[in-house]
Amino acid sequence: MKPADLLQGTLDMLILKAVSLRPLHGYGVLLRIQQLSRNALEVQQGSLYPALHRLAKAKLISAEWGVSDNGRRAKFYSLTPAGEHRLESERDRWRRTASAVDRVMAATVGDLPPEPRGEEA
Amino acid sequence: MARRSDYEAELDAEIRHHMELHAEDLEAEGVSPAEARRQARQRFGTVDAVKEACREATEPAFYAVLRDLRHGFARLRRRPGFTAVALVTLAVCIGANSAIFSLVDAVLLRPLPYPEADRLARVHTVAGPRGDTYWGAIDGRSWEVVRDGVAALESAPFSDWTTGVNLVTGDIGEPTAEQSDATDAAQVTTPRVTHVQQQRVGAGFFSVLGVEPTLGRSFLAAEDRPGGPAVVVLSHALWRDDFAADQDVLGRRVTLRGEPYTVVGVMPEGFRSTTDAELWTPLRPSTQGEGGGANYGIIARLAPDASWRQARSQLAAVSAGRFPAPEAADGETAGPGRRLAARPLQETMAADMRQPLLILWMTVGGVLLIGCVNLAGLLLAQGAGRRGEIATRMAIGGGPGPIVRQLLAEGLALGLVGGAAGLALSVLAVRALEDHVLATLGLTHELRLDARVVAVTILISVVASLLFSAYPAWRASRLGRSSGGEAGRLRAALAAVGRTAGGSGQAVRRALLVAQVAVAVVLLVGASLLAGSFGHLRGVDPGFQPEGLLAATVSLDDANYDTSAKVDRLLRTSLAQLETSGAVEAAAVGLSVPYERPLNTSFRLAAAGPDSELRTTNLTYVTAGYFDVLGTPVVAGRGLREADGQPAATPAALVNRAFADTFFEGASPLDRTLTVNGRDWRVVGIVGNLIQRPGFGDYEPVAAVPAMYVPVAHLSDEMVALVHGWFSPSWVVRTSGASTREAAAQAIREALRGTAPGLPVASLRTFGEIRRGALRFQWLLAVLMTGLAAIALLLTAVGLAGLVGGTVQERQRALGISLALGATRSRAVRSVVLPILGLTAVGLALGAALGPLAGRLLRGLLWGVSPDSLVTLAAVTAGMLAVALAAALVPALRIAHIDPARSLRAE
Repeated sequence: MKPADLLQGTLDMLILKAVSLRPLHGYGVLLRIQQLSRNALEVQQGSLYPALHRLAKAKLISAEWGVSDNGRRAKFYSLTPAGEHRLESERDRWRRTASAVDRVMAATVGDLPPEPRGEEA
Repeated sequence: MARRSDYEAELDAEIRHHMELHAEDLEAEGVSPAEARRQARQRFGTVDAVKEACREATEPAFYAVLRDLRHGFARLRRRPGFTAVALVTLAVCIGANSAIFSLVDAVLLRPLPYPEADRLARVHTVAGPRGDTYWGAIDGRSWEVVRDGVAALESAPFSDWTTGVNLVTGDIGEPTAEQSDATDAAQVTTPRVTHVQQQRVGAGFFSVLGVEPTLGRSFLAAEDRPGGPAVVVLSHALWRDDFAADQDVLGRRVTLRGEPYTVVGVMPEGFRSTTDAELWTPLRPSTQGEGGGANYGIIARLAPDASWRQARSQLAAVSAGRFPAPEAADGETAGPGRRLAARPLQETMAADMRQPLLILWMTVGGVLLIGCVNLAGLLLAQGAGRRGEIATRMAIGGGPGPIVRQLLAEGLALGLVGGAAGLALSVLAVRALEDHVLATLGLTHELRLDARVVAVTILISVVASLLFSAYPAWRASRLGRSSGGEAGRLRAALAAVGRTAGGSGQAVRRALLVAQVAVAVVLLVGASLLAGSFGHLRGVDPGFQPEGLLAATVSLDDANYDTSAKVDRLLRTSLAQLETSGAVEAAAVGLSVPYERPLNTSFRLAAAGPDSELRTTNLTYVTAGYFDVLGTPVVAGRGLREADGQPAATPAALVNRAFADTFFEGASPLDRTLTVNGRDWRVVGIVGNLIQRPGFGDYEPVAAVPAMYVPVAHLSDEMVALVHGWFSPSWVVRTSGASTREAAAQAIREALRGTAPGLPVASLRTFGEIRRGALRFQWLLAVLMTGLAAIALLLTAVGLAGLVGGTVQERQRALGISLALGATRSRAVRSVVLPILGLTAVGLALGAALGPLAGRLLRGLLWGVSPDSLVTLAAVTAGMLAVALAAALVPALRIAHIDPARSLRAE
């Protein structure tokens, strides 16, 4: 199955979630989302860093230079308290949207409203 | 800024790190190192685009705008064709605005060059209700009343006119420094005589204005009294040019008006009085003679601890004493009678110019709007082609905001460059027109490019940029949003079929065409009316034959010619000498010549009795041959003869037809007696009307005004001295057919030098030049308005052509298909051109409806043309339609070159 296109708001939410578990650098976020979704979601690499920097500017995640496992300097992102709040609200919104879509998709004929009858005597 | 470069370095490192890791992972899967690196880079995407998006996401708005601006400038360089067209349009529009603004600034806005100029005012004699006031001059008694009774104002009297007088520098017999060096012995004792403009001012004049002489002092009260010492203050320019900037000039004796004067002061450089004067002498106000009539002005400064309210109430109080209120007729309330009132000096200096300048400013505003619409159209057309680029940017980062900001910044870049070009253009234009404008408008400041003009030009550029790029930017961002994904593909498919795109904002652009046409029509109507008015004034029958005539003006404001007998002798002998010259066919002298403003005086009909109503007429003294030389007919009675100048003869006068019509209404004025200043004159003839600049009443700028002509011999000596203080007579010469102007000028100079040494010829002009001088304001206004209206027309035509061309371009395939299916070319052309011409027609109708408004606005400036002139309206509409037709057809002819076969193949 081809990975679906991700909307910007959804990407933000996934990034927040990814760094909430453990501080990650950009490539790490990419891998983490892929891994957690069991390869169903593949983030478009070009959109990743603008999103990270935007979230950092909005103080939802914080950035720090550190050393990665292979000994190189890398920039690590971690969740801030404000970011935690945002994550919560985004998750709620996503759930509401998803269940609304589910409801539509599960509809049967019996769920239709009664039709107006023609030519009443 | 250091933080930004750190940021850049970090961003670079971060991205590199990402790609390294990715490449390592790929290598771990077995890909070769080189291939891994390539794949990693490819999968990452365009690094620059990502970096751009990151920068946008994090940098403060200000740097973003700066960066966008830089990109905008770079973009302009990459598209020279578009940039050239846009730049020329902007340069012309912004340049015109800048030039007119510098005029408005110099005349209306810039504060006067005196300290605390807002405390300066002029006091006038005012007649008429508020709002329709006539601000008149002051007489001697009124001056004394203001001086003594209005403590809230420090005031000084002055003469509003300058007179041409003769200045002799270097005492006669005492050679000046430069003459000592002269080798020609005959020159050593000849002093230098120049004709200069003199203003007479009261003792406190300079201190009221707040400018003290840089050398010496201004006048003392003792010098400002009739009979007081004769002293003179020089202007800086005169001191530099005629006195070689001599530091010892104070106390130097010069001869002015034939009398000895002592130099007591020099004014600072750049000082300008209420008029252009080169030197100042004491006014010596009195209540007799010139003081008996309204010939002075009063300049006043609010006293340090006084208020305008106090000044006004004090003025009202002294007015009540000076001008008792008129008796009210039964049952009617008396309107405000004559009174003394103060008017801010800034207002008085600019009064006549306010309306024409504001009209010019509105006109250039209209031109700018038309230009902005054209530019918006260009940008809209461009925007459609940039859909892909915009969609990419929007997909990567941030939504429509940055796109709109980028497009606005591009517009701003264009606007700023256009503004700079416009500023350069306006400097050139102002320099070209400067001489005309300065003389015509009588400016206190020079026209110069200063910080204000530059600032306003930048402001105009920014506002214009917003105007022409706001809608295209918004439009393009909307296109971009729907360009990605399914919606975009559908839209692209539709565009391919050649639907005329509401999608590229053309509908709005077309609507704006209507506005452009309407504005252009209104401007053209205004310009045509002004041009017609000027043409009318220029073509008014002057009442004489101007060809072959020269007028040489000489100042007789001179102690050597202070009696009517002396003047009469001078006129006779100089004319006798002139007539011996071969270059001269005939000559005469008049106090004023046609197209000039002559002397006004009041008179009575002797028959009506000494208490009858005083009327006003022009009065000119002339020699016997005056009307022959001018070629003006005597329509009744006889002309003046030599004999009329004899002291024993009865004083005789001629009147013109206008005089007869105005004061005698059909009856003949012949043999009637007119009383002027106590002397009776018998009317012996009626002459044709000569055109003058009226000094009173409700006339056109040049018109035939009631006039009286008398020989100088019978004027009183006081009258002669008085009028020569205001007017310089002219020797009018008809040159003989073969001779050149130079030969005639030479003959005149010689005749005068022989009979009147020490009286230089102040000016020598043809009547063509005199007429041009009299009408220069109307000419300037007509020229400027016509030029601007022509620019508006051109811009509208270009915009229209662009619209048609754009439509042909867009619908190329559809047109090709319809041609292939059998439509004729002319039908195809019509299908493109007619809708646009329809819009033009709507614009024409709108403009025609608004045209009379323009006429009404110009009402005070139009002579001999009706503001509602239907002929003008019809002519402008027809002309505009013709231009629109041409502008529409030229690009539409490209349809002739569409190859229908290719259109079918491309399907």
